[in-house]
Amino acid sequence: MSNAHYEPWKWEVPKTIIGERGHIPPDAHTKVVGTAEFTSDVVRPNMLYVKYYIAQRGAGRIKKLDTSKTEQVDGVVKVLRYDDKSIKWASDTLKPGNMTTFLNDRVYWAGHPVGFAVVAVSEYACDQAIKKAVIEWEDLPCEVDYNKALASKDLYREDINPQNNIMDKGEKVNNAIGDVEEGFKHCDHIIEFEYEIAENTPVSAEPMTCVCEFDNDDNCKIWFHGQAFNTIEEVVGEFVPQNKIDMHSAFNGGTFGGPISHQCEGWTAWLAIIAAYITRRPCKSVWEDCQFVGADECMGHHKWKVGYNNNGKIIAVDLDTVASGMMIGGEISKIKASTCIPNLRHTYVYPLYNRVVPGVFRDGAVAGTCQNMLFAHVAAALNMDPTEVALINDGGDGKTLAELEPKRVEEGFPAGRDSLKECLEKGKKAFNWSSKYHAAGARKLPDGRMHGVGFTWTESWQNWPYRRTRCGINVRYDGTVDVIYRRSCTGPLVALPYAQVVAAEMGMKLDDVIYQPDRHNVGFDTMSEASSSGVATNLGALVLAARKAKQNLLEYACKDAVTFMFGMEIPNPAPFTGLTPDKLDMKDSVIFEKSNPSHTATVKQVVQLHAGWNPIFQHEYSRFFTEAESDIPNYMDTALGRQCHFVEVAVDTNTGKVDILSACLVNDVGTAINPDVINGQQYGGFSMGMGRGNAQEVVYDPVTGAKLNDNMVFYPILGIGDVGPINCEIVETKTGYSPYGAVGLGECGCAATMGLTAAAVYNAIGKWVDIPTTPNNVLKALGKA
Amino acid sequence: MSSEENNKKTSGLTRREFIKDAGIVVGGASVASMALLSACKGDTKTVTQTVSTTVNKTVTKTVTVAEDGVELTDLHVILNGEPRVCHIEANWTLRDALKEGMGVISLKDMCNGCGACGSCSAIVNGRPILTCMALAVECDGAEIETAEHLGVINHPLVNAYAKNFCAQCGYCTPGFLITAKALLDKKPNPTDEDIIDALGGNICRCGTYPQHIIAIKEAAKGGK
Ligand code: FES
Ligand code: FES
Repeated sequence: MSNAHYEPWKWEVPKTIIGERGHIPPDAHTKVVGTAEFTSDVVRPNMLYVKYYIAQRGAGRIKKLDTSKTEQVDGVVKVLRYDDKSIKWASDTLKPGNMTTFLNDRVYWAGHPVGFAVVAVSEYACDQAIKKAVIEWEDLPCEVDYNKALASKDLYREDINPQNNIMDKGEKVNNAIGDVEEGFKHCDHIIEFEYEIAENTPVSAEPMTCVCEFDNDDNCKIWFHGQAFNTIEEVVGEFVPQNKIDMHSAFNGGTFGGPISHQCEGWTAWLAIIAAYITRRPCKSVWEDCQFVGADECMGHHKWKVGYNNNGKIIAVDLDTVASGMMIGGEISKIKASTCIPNLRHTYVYPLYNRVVPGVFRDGAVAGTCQNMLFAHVAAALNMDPTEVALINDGGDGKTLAELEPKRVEEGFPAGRDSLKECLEKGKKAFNWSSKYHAAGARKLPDGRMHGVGFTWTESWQNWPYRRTRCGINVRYDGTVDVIYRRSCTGPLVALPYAQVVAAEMGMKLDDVIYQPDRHNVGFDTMSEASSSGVATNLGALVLAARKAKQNLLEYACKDAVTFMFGMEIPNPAPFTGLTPDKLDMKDSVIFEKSNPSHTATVKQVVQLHAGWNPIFQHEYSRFFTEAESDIPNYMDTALGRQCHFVEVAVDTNTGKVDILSACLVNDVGTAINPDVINGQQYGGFSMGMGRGNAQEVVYDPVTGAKLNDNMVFYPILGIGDVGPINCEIVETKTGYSPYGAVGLGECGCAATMGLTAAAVYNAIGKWVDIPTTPNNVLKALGKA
Repeated sequence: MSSEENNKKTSGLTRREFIKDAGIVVGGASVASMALLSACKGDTKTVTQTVSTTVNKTVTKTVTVAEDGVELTDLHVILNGEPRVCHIEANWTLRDALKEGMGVISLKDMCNGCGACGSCSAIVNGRPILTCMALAVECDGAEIETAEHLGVINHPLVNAYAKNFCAQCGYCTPGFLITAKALLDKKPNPTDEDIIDALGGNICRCGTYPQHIIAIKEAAKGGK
């Protein structure tokens, strides 16, 4: 397929099923009553368990490792030591870029699996055995403060850079447009501000596990919790040919993506694989601490210089960050993509020290937070309504909306849609912004707490169908349809919306279409279910495959069949013999003649006609298996979809406690496939965003580098009483690059809202607070701590 | 520093290890545990002890101390209306016993068994408890209800939860469901505040919280 004509946003939206509420996800009851089998529930006959030794210190080298007592613990089958040359150690596939190698003698961060792992008959035996090992350590310099690391001559991460404590070989400039210095000369005001964002960590729902087994003919089965299936196939491929690998995905507790998860899931899988290969018994690897491995891209210091005019128009932005955004360097990427600010510059330096290298999860929080802080500060400095400041700066790549419009209309996008304006209209009304917004520090609640509101906006996320995906559709002997995919590690409910798309495109009843998980060994790369490759990426393959499957069915509906029985040829005329597929259509799983709708045949009739008289002839089904691959549009310009969010807080100036009273979240999703699922991503992501913005902070011991709160008792995850009522609004301007102009939103609910409480706390108390807005940070801003 | 020193941190210590290593000194469970732990390693005799448990029952336990020092006993419970028995090690938590011994997979473990997530919840003798925080032996003879059972009896909560999108990844959901059932058993028409109070110990990383309030109220009205 040539991408010259691949313009999926021009595809017509089917009139039924898409956009409907009230459908129940096909796996909902199973999940609700707990009979859904998750990876951590998988048990195989005669199964062993395998666990890493996890370093609690931030730095050090193993001088001597004595595992003699470990080996004697009841139930221990094997100790996998880093210095055992007989073991085929880690694959290069599991050492992506500058990620740390595991299971060697060197500790680079607290939580790092080093030294050895234990294979035993139970998890308990593994735990007991690990405790019996005696390690003699060589103490090495340890630093968990990035400023100190930058100033130090000691090296903390020679694995990444043996020269100095800077990753990526020094300072970089990113996302620059225009001339910032020139811009500062032509604006009414210049402000400078800075703040700190603490480290937070993903805390996936399900502890990381993987199950692997080899049979005596070297066939390998794996139950993998994660997204990067192909990587794992490559790793096992170093032991056995890839065509002997059978990958399964059980249900997976929410893991929120990004390179951190890929590394953790990869190393968890690798441990199960190597233990199973050595012991020739099924092995389950368990890495509970993995939930707390990973630092968010946002952490670090942000220092801004901003030039703007009296009317709120921003002229020049210069941002300097230390420590954040490691994977992307994308602090101002969303500002660039969604504003007409003509002069932008971002310099950054990523120090290396004894924490896990920051990455992303629910990617984009650093960009969303930067945009939030920029606009909140400018609006505050001007004492202007921040929604007005947003509108005046809306655009993309330094151009105004008006400047972007002609090209966009020419490319087939609807004319005259102003996403931000539409989002603001809905959101301000639903949130009652006009009565809630006030000047900073101007409203006290009857109970003495200060009232504040926060606002943020940015582009819609995942506007880009940035990679090709494939989809398979199988029509069964009874006329039902499965869409073939593999379940991936994130939680969003995509099974339902994807089935809706296929049913709508084919003309099937929704109940007849099942989005079939765990069916990925079909000879091509099936879709990852969700995450960054959600709707925006996968929809193209789904629609194309559904259209192809429909066309295939209509062709067979017109084609006479011949059945061979007992040596005889029995002719079977097609229900639409003599007609051509273009004269037919489908609705509710029934094929009909367009000019004579009473002339019908069910899908089941057509399949059975051509599948033969007996379903034993399964090979005939292949006639009704179709697959299609999506493409990447060659025209992808500035994103025009927008999102905006509002939050209302109460701040207790005595205790510093910030309570979230209410929120309103507005997302332009282009075209809504399933509004219930979209709402789920909105309120779900918001809850996580508020955790990151208002509560969560990883605490380290400054001397040993040990993490002090890597557990759910001391690392606060928000609960049902912590977020207040949330109003979710959907806008559909059809301005995305995916089919029907759709846009994904799986990450932005969390990523775009992380800075909201900082903006709201300023509105409440007239002071800027570091992120998260914990009582300690609020009291510090108030001069009370 | 030895690795043992390295391992001494709260998060790395499972409930089972804590019980095993420290002995139990809290509540009624202490009697049972001390009886069990007082037996010598390698002692094969049978110990019979009457214990008072945290679920306010008196039970008689027979404990066999195997050659390797592992203390074994039987756990008898009424699980989801059916009498069940399984062989357990004396230091197992109720979660271990139900999951590993009886195959109850609705009991999850989001917080590494430190009592902070609610994903392992079950109703024991009418009260919702965290099964990772209860010693199995102290629940001997108890009536236990898990989320699976609500599916079997088609409790209105099940459909209300399914249709209101209370499960995204679904890992936490059975824990919420069974806690909600315990609430409805006690308060058939709960207010929003009652629901928020009752579910305060349940964590959902996918953030499905608003839907539980809707679903529980809907189920309270008979599923409408
Ligand atoms: S596993 Fe029991 S509360 Fe988390
Ligand atoms: S639905 Fe994923 S943790 Fe609750």
